[in-house]
Amino acid sequence: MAKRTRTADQVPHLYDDLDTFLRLSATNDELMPDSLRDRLHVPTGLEDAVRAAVEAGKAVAITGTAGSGKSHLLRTAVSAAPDYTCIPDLTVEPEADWNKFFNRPKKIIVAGNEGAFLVGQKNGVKGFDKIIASLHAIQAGDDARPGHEIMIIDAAGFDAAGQRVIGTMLGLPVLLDFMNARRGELAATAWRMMESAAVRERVAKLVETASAHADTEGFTFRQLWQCVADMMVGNETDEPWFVRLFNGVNEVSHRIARVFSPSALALPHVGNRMWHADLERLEPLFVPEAVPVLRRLLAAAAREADSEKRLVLFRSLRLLAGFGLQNSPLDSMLRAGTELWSSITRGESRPLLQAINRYFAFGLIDFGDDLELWVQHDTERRHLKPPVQISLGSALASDFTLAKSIAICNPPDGVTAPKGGRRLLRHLQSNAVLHVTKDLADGLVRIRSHRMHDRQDIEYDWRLTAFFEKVATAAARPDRLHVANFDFSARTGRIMKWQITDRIQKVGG
Amino acid sequence: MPPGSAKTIELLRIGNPWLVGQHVNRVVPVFAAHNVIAPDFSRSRSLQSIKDLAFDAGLAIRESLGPCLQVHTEDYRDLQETTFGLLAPERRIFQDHRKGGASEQGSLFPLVGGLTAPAASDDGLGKRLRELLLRHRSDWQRKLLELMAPSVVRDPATAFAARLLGGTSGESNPEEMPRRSLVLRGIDKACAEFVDNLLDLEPCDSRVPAIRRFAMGAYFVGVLRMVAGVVTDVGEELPQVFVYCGLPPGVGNDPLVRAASKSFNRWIAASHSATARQIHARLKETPVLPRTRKAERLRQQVRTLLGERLGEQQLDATMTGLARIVEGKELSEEWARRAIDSRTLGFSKSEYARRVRSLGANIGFAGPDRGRMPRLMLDTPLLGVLAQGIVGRGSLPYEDFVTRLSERFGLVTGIGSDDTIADRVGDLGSEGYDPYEVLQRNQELLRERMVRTGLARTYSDSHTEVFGHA
Repeated sequence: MAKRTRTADQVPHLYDDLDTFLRLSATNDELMPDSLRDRLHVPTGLEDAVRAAVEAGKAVAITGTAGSGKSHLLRTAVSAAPDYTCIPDLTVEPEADWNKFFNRPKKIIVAGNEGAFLVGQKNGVKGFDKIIASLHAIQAGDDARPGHEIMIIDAAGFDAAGQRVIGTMLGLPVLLDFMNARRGELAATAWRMMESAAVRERVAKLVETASAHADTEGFTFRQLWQCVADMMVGNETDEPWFVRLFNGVNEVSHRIARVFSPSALALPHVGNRMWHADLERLEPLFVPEAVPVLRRLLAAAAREADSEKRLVLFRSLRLLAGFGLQNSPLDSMLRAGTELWSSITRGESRPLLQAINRYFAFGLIDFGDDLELWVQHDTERRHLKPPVQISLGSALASDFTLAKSIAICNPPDGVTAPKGGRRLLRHLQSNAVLHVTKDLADGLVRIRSHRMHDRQDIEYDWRLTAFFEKVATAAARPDRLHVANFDFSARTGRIMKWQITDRIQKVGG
Repeated sequence: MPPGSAKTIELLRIGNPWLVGQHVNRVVPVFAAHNVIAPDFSRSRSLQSIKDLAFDAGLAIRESLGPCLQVHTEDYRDLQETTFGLLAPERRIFQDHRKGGASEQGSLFPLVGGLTAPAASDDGLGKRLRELLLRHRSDWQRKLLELMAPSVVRDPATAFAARLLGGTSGESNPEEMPRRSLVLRGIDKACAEFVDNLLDLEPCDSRVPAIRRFAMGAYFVGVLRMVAGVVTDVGEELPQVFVYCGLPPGVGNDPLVRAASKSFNRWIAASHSATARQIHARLKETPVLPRTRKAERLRQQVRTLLGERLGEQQLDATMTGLARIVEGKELSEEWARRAIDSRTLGFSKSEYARRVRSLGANIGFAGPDRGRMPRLMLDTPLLGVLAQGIVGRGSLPYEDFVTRLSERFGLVTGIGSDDTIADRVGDLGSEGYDPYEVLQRNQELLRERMVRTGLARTYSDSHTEVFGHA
């Protein structure tokens, strides 16, 4: 937890500024009052890279979607580099001027969304082709792009959720001061839980899990701020943040609600004691910062005569337990999702390759680590998938890497490029890349359905075969045909191997 | 003659020659693909033996495939299964229980040109499409030949097929393109360009998935041309139909699903009505012999037009079948409408909708598989085909992609870059949703799916780009 500041108490209008900022529909840097800027700053490592680039005299291009933190970074750079030309938004500059920006080495920083750079590349703007090529390379986890002097920051690719940025945001002292000064007793007491690193870590992990679940670009800084704002002032009633986190009207809350159901939280004994308001036995189980709000909620639940309202309070208590218990079942739930996802997060490619092999064989045939490159060539949609499946070859497990995307290309010497949010399985020979998301990993573990009406699996099949197709361009062998034959009702499968030279002969299976 | 028999249905084809198949059914992608590809290749003498190999390896080896196979008798079953799985994943070749081996009917997956032959079934969708492509000025034929007869074999599936054909991909024998022809316009042009784009491959692209996309895409535009083309043939605007873009098939209480179902029925009704108008228009311009009695005129006109397509014997049988709706009747638009609704033709709007749904379901373009509220949808493999067929090489802003779908094919998936689409597509709103919201939500669902499957990339809040070769 950062050191508490008392400045806020001395400047009451600060709370008004913060209140206005939190209630804005777009919590963006341009609308952030200067009085708050330092207090709301969350370091990410990208600022250090910008400062180092400026010191080295490099040109800098900052790309990213709205809300990804471009303006904030640019502001950092401006203060560090008074002799630099700063273009805060490429799209508002006349397109005729774009050619001047990167046509020779100069001290310039240009921020813009990736779409604008793409338009420039399509229109032949000087230097933009290199920027786009480099950007796409780091988004695919490839950092080997020497040969030009522009440092490129993919602000949208920076994994704010994966870096647990929201944990730092929630711990900002100014937010706690604001809650104490401006919000009701219950909401303020609940917010005091943010003084516990364990609680902040749980929130951050939950957000990270929601971020990794589907194939989107993770959460932007703006989306994270909108979530924090919703937790603080989203409801005029005295609602604690842990309820608002699930009920909030913001993208982060929506995605959390999609991947995590509070009712799945198993609270043996604890739930019973909460129902009976057994504070004495409950207190030692909670982190100290959560005890005050526990007392309040338990007392309110015990007083409540209306059974429906009591149930509502009890649901709040369950959520409080999820975040506030010293040993919370939330931790194991967030770890769950399978060993496969854990190994993916550790960067291990072999378990993933095995899982893909197993998935594509409907869990009926075991292959080794090398990836079989199955092809789907049925042109007609029947009720069941074809029972015979053809492999175009197999790619060695050692030819794959599982890496994360990279947020900076061509950083100055001595600066380590922060990782992005995408997890990518990459085949080195073909340069084929598979974006691995948690929902895909979960789908792999569930094993493929042989019925065509399981449309989610059709989508996974398509994603995987599109990857196989690209890998096959480097790994297919015309002399070796592997054919898998499945009996879906008997749940068996076997493989037949053929050698194709001047004659076709069976060599195995 | 039973209602809607093969012969009476010829009357419908006067209005819409794309209504192919015996009852506008038994039309499947692999047959359509064969009818597009086969005219550019000589029929292989080994073709029947290769089909036989899928059912009776011993017979095929004895007859002609012995030199290319070194397989023990105990492995014949595995060889049959491999051949069937590799060359007939759609199960569109059939066992001949009487003679042994495979029936002459049925088609193999067109792995190489040498495996193709005009589909002997009554599927004419591919033939119609081929006629259309012959009027399309581009190098599509060269690309088709390169795809179907590769100079270098890189994958084992192609190698297996080529080995069975005696070490060749097939003997190309390109059909001559007509020197002069009408320039394609409207949906005809869109269909031809779509197929052309599917033949556009990078040198290192895997050819087996490319052939799959080509077969699905050719069939997809064939079905669209069948339903929507006839409406433009009668001089009306291309009909717009709202396509459900969530993960198929969607649930019945979703306003998007309801909108898609209503729109599908309107689309079918427009096509049905246009077919009747076109039948009327074509018969009206058909001359009759001088001094023909009024009651005889219609019969004569029908006979003349059917005579252009049918042999004498078939024509007599067809006219007998049509007697109830033709004899003594007078030509009018109303007559044409009643004729196609009659029991003799058995082609009411609901029947038409049922058949189009069944055709579309073959490639995940229509659904649900059973039950109420038929609608158009886009299964994930079809999305890949659409992206390549619409975009071709390079990329396209997502809004332009959505607009192209509606401008070229009448498939409305969202607002795209044309705000007026919400007014033109008809009443989409229901249950408190206005049409604009329905289109917005649908467009976003499609965008999410395309991003998730790697067919599109988000560059900013307002900029998503669709890639032809993702």
